[in-house]
Amino acid sequence: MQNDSNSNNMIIEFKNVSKVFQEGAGDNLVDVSFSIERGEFVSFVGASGSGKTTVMELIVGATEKTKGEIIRPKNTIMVFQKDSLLPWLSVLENVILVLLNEKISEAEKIKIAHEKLALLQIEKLADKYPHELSGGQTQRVSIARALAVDPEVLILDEPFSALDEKTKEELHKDILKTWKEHDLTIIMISHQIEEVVLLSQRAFAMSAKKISAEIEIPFAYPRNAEDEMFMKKIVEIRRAL
Amino acid sequence: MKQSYFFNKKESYLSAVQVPARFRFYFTVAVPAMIILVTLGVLRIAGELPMLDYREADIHTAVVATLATLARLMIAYVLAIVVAIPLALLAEKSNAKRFLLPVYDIAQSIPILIFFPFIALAFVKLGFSEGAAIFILFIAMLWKLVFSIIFGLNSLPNEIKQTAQMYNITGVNYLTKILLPAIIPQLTIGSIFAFADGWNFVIVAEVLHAYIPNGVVANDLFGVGSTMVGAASAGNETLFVYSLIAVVSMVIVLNLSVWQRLLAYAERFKF
Repeated sequence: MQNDSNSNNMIIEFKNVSKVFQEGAGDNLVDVSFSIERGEFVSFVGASGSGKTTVMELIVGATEKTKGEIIRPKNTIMVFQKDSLLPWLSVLENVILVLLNEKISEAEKIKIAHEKLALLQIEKLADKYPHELSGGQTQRVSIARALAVDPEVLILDEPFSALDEKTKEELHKDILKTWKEHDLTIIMISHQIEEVVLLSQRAFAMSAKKISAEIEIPFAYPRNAEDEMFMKKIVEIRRAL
Repeated sequence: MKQSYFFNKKESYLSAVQVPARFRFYFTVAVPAMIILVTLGVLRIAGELPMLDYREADIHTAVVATLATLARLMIAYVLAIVVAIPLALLAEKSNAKRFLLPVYDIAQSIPILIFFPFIALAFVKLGFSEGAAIFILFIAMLWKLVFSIIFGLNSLPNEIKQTAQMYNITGVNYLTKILLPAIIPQLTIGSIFAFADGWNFVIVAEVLHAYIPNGVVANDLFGVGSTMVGAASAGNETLFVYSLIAVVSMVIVLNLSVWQRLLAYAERFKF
């Protein structure tokens, strides 16, 4: 699935990428091709085992391809579905930790950490520890931590799956706000089609370790889940899976 | 004191490490008390020790002997930790992991007491009898610590490892900021078991005269193990009972003032 845009604007490209983890165990990814432009919000949607996580691992460099070509930026950060905060550090310390390699003063690191927490409206949680946070707060901290290193691409791995509806709605707004204000490229993995249509500009439907369809979602923000066109898009994606 | 976020406004070392109030007893009382007790024990071991007459010795002997044994255990424990951490990290990190773990398994299964007579004789000939005791206690403690640390390393969630990789937290930073704190709960449990094994071995470790040719009681190391054996030989039942009470009391005090508090403190490092 090639994008016709200017290649200077392209930030990720997969060309006929396949991945085999174990010989004889079958492919984990089969001949996947797509490209993502800088500043886009795209999603990969599909059932468990469809290859979404393998694509993400290839993008962040956690694993290597078996065949094909990958163009990806170096500064890609993934926010996991499961909590990846260090329990012995406070919220602020968890954010500051990722700035360890930055050649800036301690005071500047603290300032950056506070700024990113304020972006997600959780600055008041700076002195709390991870076990004192709710699921939504933990995700916010993980996102704030990711933003602290100014990533080119932010990958969200089913970030809202463990949250209640109200918290999800609030986080959706925060994510969209952060995306627009920082001109980030965001890739979201989800098996919730409604969430994909609510947030993304494009969706890659994955099944049987391949991309089965690339679907444009050209609706303006904020989107209305009760809109007829919204519902039709959900059906379109569901049919592609 | 260096000003950074990690240091509270109050200039005390307790605030500096952000120790919750309920753990401050540990740092203000238990640890200094342990240091004082162990120092007393070390001085007792290191000083000129008069030949004990087990027929006459009393409760004072039992108490000081227990402190001397504790000092020996602490020295062996520190050495065991220093060796255990790199051994465990090597087994986890290296390509020889498949080879190393079985080697460690076999090593811990070897009954070290079989070799103790040779080890004791070697150290006595070198003029460093204490080395024999500390060596046997070190070996007794080592493998419990190694395997507890390996278990702790295996328990590190994949998300944490991937997060560290993504944010380029590698090398010494990965070791000090992530790995070492993450193993604290398992290391604490391993330390409790290691100390228990150490107490089990003190009689063997201190009663050296049983293992060396023409050995006499004067070859023994002063400690609660040798005191109990000496008291039993001399028929001083009172001293034997005092020694037993001293050991049990020491184990209880250690448990309440050190291990239980460490276990509670280690909770904050659990995922």
